[in-house]
Amino acid sequence: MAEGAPMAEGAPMVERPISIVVEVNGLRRREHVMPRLLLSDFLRHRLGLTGTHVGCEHGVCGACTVRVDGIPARACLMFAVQTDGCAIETVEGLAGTGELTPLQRALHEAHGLQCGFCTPGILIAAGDLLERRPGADRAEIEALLSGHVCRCTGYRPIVDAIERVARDAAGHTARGDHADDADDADANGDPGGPGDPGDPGEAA
Amino acid sequence: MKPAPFAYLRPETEDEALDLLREHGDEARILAGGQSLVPLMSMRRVSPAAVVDITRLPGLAEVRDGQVAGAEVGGAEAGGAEVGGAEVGGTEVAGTEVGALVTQYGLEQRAGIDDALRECLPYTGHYATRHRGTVGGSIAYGEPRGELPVVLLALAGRARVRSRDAEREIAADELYVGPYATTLRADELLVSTRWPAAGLGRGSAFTELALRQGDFTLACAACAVTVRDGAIVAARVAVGAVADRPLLVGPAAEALVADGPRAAAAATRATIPGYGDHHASARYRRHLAGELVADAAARAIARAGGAPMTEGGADG
Repeated sequence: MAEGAPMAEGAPMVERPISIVVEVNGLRRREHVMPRLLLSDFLRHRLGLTGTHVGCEHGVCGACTVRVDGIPARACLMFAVQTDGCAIETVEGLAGTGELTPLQRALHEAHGLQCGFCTPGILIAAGDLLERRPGADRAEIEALLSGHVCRCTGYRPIVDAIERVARDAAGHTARGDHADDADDADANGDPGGPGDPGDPGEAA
Repeated sequence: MKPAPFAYLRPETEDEALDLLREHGDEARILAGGQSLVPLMSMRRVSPAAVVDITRLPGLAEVRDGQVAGAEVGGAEAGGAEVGGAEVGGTEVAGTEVGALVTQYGLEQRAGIDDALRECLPYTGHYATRHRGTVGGSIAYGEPRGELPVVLLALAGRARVRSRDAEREIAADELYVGPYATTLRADELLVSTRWPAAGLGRGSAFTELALRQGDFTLACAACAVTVRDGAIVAARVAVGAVADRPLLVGPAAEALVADGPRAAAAATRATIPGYGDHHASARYRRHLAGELVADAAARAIARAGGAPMTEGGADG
């Protein structure tokens, strides 16, 4: 049983605080949490890590995406108590040295953000994708972004930025991989944003 | 948007989990990936007194290839003129047994699984939710718009469930009885699902339309066929997001065997209720489901080695 959780026999079904130990961006924390405390609220309100943004709070917008034990997770779809013993990575951990990561730099250079609300979740999720699939192609990147709502950029500059990092990682070996990946999206129509590649920096 | 208070129970062994379910099953919900349960709790559409977190139970995150109990694909043969009425025999066929805690993303990365199963996984959610969402959770939840239940129906798969006293298998055909309602009892834990794989002369396919990949589907369809000497001898057709539950469409399977994919599309339209919401009308969903059935059927036939039967061609 989880420490502090009531035992089975005859235990009253009441909420009670549970002690958890987590490692957040490399720092170990011991906290008492109520079971219903969402991981997103734990990070923001208990630990003050407000870089994890909360948009829809039901798993759709992607802004609160973090990693738990190296696996991406919507922080609003986990209870903090579930992360007992786990390592959590948030956007604050990315540029801990003060130096931007390649993905952060690419988003900056490609105008891949405007208001910045969606950016933390995209940095975590895209960073995870690039770790698992360093040479990820445009179709994969677009599929990834279907889980992240951005109302500023029209997505194209975000795709460009992630693709740039993917190509750098792949050492430009991915030439000509655009033609053969069209069958993924057949039943799905066009998952992407606007068709016009005009200047994305002008998006409202 | 905050869940109501609940008691958090985290068993470390399966026996402990089954004890808790026997004790509290009626007032508890099982937490696996949580990608459906947690938002439902946040919106207070469900407020269980207790949550049983099964994610630390050992042995439930394995995928095994081997023999699984299943049926020859035979929805139409079995006289499935009525929706969901196909009979499932107890023959052993090659397939994959998927532990309840295997994630949708994890299964997606695995080679050698059935074609329809492989094709449906990218639609089950977005990148991050597929890393958490489990196959067992999708099957046990019974979302009427879910992809995995539709494929389990089309493949005549099965769910293995355990309670403190017994273990049993539930055929997909017997699993779904209403919106989010299954024949699992409150004291039962789904431990794995069994997915027959395509073999010689057998093929399957899945297809879906959603506004964005990973969003709730507007409609989806899965087909499995058996082909002998170039002709379809058995078929199963299932559709999602067009009724109050994932639906096996017997008349569509019959029409597919008799007259091919276009006939299956027409039979689907004529059979399913469809339902309307702010994304699409019932009429649109009926039409769409028919077209998706035709597409999945044509590709399943091609994979089974059969000749295309209509002008629509067999190439998805």
